[in-house]
Amino acid sequence: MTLRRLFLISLASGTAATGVHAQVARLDASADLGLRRSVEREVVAARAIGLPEGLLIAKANEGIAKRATPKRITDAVAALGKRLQVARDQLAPNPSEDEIAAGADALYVGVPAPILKKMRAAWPHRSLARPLGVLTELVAKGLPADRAAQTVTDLMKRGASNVQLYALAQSVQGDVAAGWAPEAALDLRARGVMSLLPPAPAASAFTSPRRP
Amino acid sequence: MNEAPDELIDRAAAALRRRHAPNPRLVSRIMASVQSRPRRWWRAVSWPSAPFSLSATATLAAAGLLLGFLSREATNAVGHDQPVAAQPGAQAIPLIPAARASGEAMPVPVQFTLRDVRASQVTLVGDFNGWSQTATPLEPGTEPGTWSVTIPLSAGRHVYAFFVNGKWMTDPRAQTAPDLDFGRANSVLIVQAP
Amino acid sequence: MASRSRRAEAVAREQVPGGLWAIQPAEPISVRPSTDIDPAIPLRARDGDAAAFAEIVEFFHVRCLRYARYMLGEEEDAEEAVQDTFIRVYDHLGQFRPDARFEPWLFRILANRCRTVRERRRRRESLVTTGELPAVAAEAPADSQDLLEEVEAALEELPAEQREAFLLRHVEDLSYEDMAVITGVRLSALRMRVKRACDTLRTRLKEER
Repeated sequence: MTLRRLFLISLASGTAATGVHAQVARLDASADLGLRRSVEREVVAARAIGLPEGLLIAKANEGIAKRATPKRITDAVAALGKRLQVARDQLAPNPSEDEIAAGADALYVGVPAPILKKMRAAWPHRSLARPLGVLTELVAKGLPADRAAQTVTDLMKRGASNVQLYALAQSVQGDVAAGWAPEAALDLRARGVMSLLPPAPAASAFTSPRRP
Repeated sequence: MNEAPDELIDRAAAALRRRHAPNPRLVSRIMASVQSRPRRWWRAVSWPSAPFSLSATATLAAAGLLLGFLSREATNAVGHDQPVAAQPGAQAIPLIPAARASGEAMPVPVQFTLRDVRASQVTLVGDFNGWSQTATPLEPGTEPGTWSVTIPLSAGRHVYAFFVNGKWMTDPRAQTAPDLDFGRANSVLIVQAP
Repeated sequence: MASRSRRAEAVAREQVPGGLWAIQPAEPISVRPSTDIDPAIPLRARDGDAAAFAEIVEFFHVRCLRYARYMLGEEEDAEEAVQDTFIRVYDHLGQFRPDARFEPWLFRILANRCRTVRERRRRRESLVTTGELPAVAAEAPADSQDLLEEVEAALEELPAEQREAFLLRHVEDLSYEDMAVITGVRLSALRMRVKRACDTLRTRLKEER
């Protein structure tokens, strides 16, 4: 493939423009022309680099439902676009749309981008969408991102299922609502889940069985 | 003066915008070239002049931004008239939004309920229906002032709220999630896979 | 000033009970997403925060490279102009006023560097170089490939001041007020340059279709 062709195939086509209009049509009817055009620009940009543009429309609709100003909505949509791109880069290669969305949520509450990259490196084949959702909720509840990420990854390394991770997040939610300090709640609940998991393998285990 | 919309110019500009990608090589060259330059713009300030490290200042910067976010959330969160229970008001059937279709287990039915005697119209808005103000109306129950809807939701974390008589309202029985974009907290629900 | 009345209108909207949609304006608001960096970051860089300066480079270098590439026509020249720009930003951060906006200040330095490089080197005819190009996501149909080729060719043929005005307005999404800060040219002249650039591009692009 020539370099010129590589360069040229980055343009959104008339076909893509049709898809963009269909997306922008999902904006709430009360959105004015200026807002529609701004959101359309973001959708075009997201589509061109393969990001899930439906999330941008949803963000705009959230802002409309909350009676936010057009500037605030367009800023939020643009910021989400950037987060989606960062999430995709950190969760490379080939993250699913669910993972990109969950990664963007995690970045939104303040989880540093390198944590996403580390999780991907540790689990290249497991979907991180649900664990990232749990991490997001823990950080949203006031836990330091590093601490929350360490706990989630420790549990995952010990074989915790998504169901067990959800249970952890729900329990911490309830504890914090009841007045517990977030770190104390996490510590207690993580030990509870850990007690149900198989013990960690010994560090000096044989890599292969001996032949008889 | 507002310029009239021009689709051809917009498409041309969009094409030109997408042409470039981040260039880490250039960024490294720039940072290497400034590191050797004298800092002519040091100002006399009252805080300690100890030399800083990149990692320390980056951590401080990140912490400063995070504190800013958290304090903004605290001042903007919607207040609740009723105490927050451990269980959210939502219990049942989920909707699978197009953008979040799960490759995991089957969707879980989640029932959302609200009690408000002043409500004449209630809809559910959330990440599972694109925050559409009309897609998911709640139906009135037999007891006056009670409303509910049951929708399928994928397992995981979801944020939502009610739209009561055209006004935004968080679920009084659910936990809240900060809203850094618009300053109005959402309700949050974690749906367990069956 | 039009921008001040728009801001006043936006403030009035936020204060109206029932929120934004209580007022129907006579004409739609021209809203552009914010493209500027968090104002706190340049101020931290100004006070010696190296991580903040790195954030500035990360945040702006793609747009700077894009603008320089279209103004200068060569990847190498564009990288040189962008590197020079950030070195100048670093050297002159002490002159950046806390009450000013960073984006137009940066772009003014960049525009000046591009003019300097352009005056110093011979321009090539084609904007497309043989250097590395960014990765792309998917194939586009033949008619869109033609459009991009035509846009680039038409852009190259514009007089430099019209190309500059078009890029700042339509590709970098800057306001006319910011463009006036960047170029030192009057608003009315800038509007005329943008209009002429768009007229030429439109005519040229339609001719080929």
